[in-house]
Amino acid sequence: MAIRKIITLPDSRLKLKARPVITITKKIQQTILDLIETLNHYPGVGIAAPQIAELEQIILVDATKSRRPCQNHGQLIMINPQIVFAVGEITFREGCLSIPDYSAFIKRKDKIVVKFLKPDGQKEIITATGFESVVIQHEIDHLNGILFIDRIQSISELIPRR
Amino acid sequence: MKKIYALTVLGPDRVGIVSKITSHLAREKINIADSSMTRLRREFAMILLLKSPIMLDEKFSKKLKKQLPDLSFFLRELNPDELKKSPEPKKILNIVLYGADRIGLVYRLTSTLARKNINIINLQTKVLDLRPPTYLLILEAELPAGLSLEKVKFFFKPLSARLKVNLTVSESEATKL
Repeated sequence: MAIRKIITLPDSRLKLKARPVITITKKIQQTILDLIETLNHYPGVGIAAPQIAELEQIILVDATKSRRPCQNHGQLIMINPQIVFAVGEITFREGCLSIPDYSAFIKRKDKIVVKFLKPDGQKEIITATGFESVVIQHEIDHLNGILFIDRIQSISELIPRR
Repeated sequence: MKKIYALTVLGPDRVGIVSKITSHLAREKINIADSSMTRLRREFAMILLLKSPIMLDEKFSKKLKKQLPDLSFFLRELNPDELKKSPEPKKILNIVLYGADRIGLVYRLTSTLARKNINIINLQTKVLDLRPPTYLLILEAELPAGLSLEKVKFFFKPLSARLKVNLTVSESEATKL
């Protein structure tokens, strides 16, 4: 396990699409362990493999790290996550480890159903709501090369950290 | 018949500028039609379209200058052609560019738009305080009839690669409010 460097804007690797994981190899397992250690080190609630320059469809979400109590599934390691159903709307102030010191209010789906593979290769489907749902959508965006600043309409929506 | 003027105001920002300008306009019975105000760092900028029952001249700007001496005022009467409302764009191009900050990014992007006869209707840029400093540009432009989103994306692809920036082009329908 290792704390990996998080790549930040304007690194163009953040705009690349991640590959689906076909086989859970030792390298994939290593990436998962690195994601866990890296997220434990940083004050974030989620991380995607492209943020540590691994172009694989893996995200780690841990809504238990939220400052406010929220409904959650604990630490979620999601391989090839896919949103299969989404409903409702929620607006949340989002930040990103790859865009330090800035945040913006982003509109997302409130309730999502996500299917994914667990690290042992088993299929899983969960329903996430509220904050956890927002974090999952934010991290899945990373797998598609989308950052939260791609979702703002105006520069005035960007909130710098004071 | 009421005359229409464009009044531009620029200068260092502080509390009360809009209030002082608009109270002066109200006293003079001048109506504010459209207006837009913004602030770039500490620099205040405002443009107002004014409907006035009387002819305005330099004296009007001087009166404002007396109240707000550190601001610049520029007044221009609009001619009938300028008063015609521009037709609402049917389709709007949204362009988001970001990448390492360097000279010429805005020029290269906007000159490409101008060559394709694409008119910019809103443009905002900001240098994000990241390492290295990252330039963020968001603009809206009118998509001319006969030009598809796919074509626009096609001619921006090499530009994005050459400038080493991320460039996203999307399209939205004009919303009538």
